[in-house]
Amino acid sequence: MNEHSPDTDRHLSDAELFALAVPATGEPEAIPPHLSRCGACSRALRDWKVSFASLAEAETGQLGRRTDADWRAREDATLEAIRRAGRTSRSAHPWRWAVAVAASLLVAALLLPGLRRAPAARIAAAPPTPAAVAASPELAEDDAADDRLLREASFVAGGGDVDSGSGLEGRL
Amino acid sequence: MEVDETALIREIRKGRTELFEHFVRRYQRRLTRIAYRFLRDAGEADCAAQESFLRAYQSLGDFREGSTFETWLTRICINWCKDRLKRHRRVVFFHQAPARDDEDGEGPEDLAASTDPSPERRAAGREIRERLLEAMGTLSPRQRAVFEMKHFEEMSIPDIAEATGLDTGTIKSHLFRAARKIRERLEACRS
Repeated sequence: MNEHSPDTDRHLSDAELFALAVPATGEPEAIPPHLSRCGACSRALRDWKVSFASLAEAETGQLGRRTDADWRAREDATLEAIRRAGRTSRSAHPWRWAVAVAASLLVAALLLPGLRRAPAARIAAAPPTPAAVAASPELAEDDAADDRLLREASFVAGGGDVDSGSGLEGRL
Repeated sequence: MEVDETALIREIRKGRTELFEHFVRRYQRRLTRIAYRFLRDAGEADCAAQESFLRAYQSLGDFREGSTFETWLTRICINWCKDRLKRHRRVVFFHQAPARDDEDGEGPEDLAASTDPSPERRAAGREIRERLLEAMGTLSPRQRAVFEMKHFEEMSIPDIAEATGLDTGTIKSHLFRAARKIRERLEACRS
């Protein structure tokens, strides 16, 4: 350690040695003239530089004592993790595509036939009016009764009142 | 031979994912050291480095050509460390060093001793390191982080700025203030 000296050509203080050894922003400080004349200060500056460099290494704790093989093992672990992540995302993508394609095909299969015979189907789907039912020659009396019965059953199943004059009991 | 990393990234984006190994082999040690400076735990630093590589790999599409991969990766890592510290509600962030894991085996003094045979110089080196560590303990967490990135990891000021999301003026200011605080502490110890 250097001591302060009151004279102008005093030894450099620790703070000055630190400033020379570790310039604040990396830009070298102006070298004091004393340094070129004083062997003790030159050696002290070297000590500060070496000590600071070793501190940088020592400050990484256990990491500073790892061997190349230790590091290699950790790098391998990272690469394996990346490969795994890559495999997961690669295998997930085709599955999502397959589901999307299958869904599209299903929708198409359901919709296409309906679209092709759309006008005829729309006519067929329209409910027959009572007049049409009555006028229909092929709808016999028994069929018409069954039809009414089924409608009433559907009405009751839907929560309708069975105590009306046209209840099911008498018909069954 | 210098590798054109931007070209390498282009190839990886095209599907040659095996080329990513270059980055892991080249930067994992450095990245782990940087993470350690934030987290002060070797296991967590390993985790931070691995997670940073994974994130970088998965978001390689976000990498802007023109910046360097190393800086981009460092930024990912620093953000990861900050998140980690926030999650664990650790106020420590670089200010006070929690129990260092270098208590067994060689300490800092022994590391220097192996390169300097003179007992006097070894003693001088040990004293300098102790005083430096003590003086660095007075730095604010952010000052210490920036100081260590600059002087221990030898990162450039623009790289530190990009990695931390601060501007270069702020980084310089942190560095000047950190150096001044250390000098003041060293003077105070002497008087």
